[in-house]
Amino acid sequence: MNRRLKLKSNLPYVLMALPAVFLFLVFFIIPLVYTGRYSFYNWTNYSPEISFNGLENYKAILDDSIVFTGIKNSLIYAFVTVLLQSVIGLPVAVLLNKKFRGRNFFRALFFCPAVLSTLVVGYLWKYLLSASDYGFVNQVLMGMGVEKVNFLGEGKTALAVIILTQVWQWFGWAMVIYLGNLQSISGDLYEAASIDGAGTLKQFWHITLPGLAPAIKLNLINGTIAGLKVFDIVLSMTGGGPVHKTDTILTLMFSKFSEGNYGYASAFGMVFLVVSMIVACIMLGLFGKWERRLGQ
Amino acid sequence: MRKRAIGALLSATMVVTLAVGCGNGQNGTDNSDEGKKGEGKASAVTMTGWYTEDNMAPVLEALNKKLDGKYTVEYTYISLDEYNNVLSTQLAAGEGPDIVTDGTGFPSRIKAGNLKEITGADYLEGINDAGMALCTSKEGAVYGIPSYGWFSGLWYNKDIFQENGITELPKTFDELVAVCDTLSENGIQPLGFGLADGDQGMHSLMGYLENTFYETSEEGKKFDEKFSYGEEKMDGTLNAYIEEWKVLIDKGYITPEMVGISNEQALSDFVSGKTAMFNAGPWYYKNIKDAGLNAGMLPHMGKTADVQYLLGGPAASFGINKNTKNEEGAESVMAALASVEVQQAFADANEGSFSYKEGVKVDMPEEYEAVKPILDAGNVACAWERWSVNMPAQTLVNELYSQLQGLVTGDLTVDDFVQALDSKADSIRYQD
Repeated sequence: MNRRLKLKSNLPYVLMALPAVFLFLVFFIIPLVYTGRYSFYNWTNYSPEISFNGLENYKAILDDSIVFTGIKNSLIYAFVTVLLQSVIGLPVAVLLNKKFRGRNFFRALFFCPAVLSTLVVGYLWKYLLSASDYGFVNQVLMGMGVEKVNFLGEGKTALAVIILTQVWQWFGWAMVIYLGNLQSISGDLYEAASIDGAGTLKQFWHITLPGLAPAIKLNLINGTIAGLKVFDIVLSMTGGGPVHKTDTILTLMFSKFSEGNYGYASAFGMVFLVVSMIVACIMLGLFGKWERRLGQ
Repeated sequence: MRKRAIGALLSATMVVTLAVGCGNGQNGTDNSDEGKKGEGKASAVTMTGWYTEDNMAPVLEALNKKLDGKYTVEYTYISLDEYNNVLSTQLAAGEGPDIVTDGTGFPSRIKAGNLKEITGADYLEGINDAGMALCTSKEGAVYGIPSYGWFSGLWYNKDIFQENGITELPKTFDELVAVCDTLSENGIQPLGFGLADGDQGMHSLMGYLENTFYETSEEGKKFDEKFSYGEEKMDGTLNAYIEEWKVLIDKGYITPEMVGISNEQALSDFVSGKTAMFNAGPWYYKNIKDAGLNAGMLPHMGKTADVQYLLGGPAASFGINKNTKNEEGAESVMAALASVEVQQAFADANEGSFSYKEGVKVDMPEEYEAVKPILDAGNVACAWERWSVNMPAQTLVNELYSQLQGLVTGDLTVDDFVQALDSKADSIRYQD
């Protein structure tokens, strides 16, 4: 096929992809380029002139100890949340893949929280976990003779309960992805393994787990990237407090934007991009290795 | 082939539609002529704010009546959470409403050159200096006018006070602590603060500082201007006063549990009689009144009862967008906003507020009996409004919320607290 003919036959596909490319360009590439550019500028709400200031914004980020708290919290949140979601979601998916009465009800039940808005979930749990007399969880604890816990008023417990609420909300999502993948694993493999005398645990280890590699990869990489972007749950439950102890990269970036410090916030955005890319590359590398080992 | 042609046509249509959609934006400031072109139709002047349309309805009615059909005000509500970002982005792009509304951020709009200077305008007459504080630059140029004034004090439950034999209202901070002691001994939680949102703790602390340092000492009166320009530091100046206020934390009247409680939850505790006192302003008046609570407001207290101050200042100020295409209309709206009728409408729509405009009559509900003499004396002041001459004060206020949480939980000492605020202030000054 000559080049001209090939181009002609591909033209409709190129045209069909154009709107998506256009949207990607307008809403991702151009803002990214501008963010990168403004990260080198002294652009604030209160300065009439926008001036180039080199690496000053990046230096200010490195000098700000709260930034490291934000990066640390984002990483802790992302890894712990994604791990717990899979640790709970996978066995639940395996259980709900078996045939029993009411399994559809349980599938829907566990998936339900994922349908809710994260902000709604945040405000709901904030109310339930409140240290005031209206806090349902504390009322239950006190009813059991346990002392009141200041869940959201202390840094360590605040981050922990934020993570737990998100595990509660999203493990059903992970479960559904695992469930979809489980249904694509041929039953013949289990039958053959059973004939060869493999028990449930061995079947899980040698058939289910390797078969779930695509779902595990998808859940962990997507979950980690989403985890690094955590914002709304923190905003609704603690606002980054107490004393910045639950601040994350995005809550800090948001506060810099709110303060009208656009140059600094843009630099923060670039730092976030780099952190996310490093984490994603490491994870992709590790999964690539795992998949190659499974393929051998 | 036919399918490919249809596909190509559909794709082209989508691209064109998107391009047309994106290119159909309207400049928010470029709507003046449209109105003028319409025969018999008044020209629209745009205005945004964080007050809901319902809250603004009586003010807009008075405003449009004052404009007498020559111009009409088109008001757009933007939620407070987003207000600063939306307005800043619009102004940075050379757009935005014809009339710019802002609170403590008003001086930063002046600094950014977003507002038109209105020094010497006729409609400024009759507005007192306190009201003009946020609208005037350091050099004395005027860029705006205030709306009504806000204040905050300490709401108290009259029934709880009576039941516990507290017949004399506290007038000094020591007397307030003694009242807390009495209530606590009787098993009642004296103070109910929601420190997750921060502002109640801040009002309590800053109210004390206003009454013991800022307004009652020569050093205090000059401190904030010097602080805002980096000539003074909080560390070494405020430490001792904050230690005195901290007795409320040390005695367990402000507790670490409050860090996990929001303002709204603290309000629920107060209106249901679980706590005896609650730091806030008239913005909770309706909630308290609707709950049927027998309540009153106490002023913030210092060491002596000789001079007392409330925290407060102009709630919102208005200025003309420098990039407005409807300057004449905006000037007319500003004159109408400054009129006694519209200022009266502001005061009436915000029960318990006060006015900076001569000729506006404000009826204070009986709940404000104890604070009325202080308001009448004009003893209303607020540190963060003084900071705003050379920094985005709200940023420091937000940091104060955060650091105060650490003071209450015991993670920070008073020295750590003031040093953290100094450090934040150093990083956000407009000019060093």
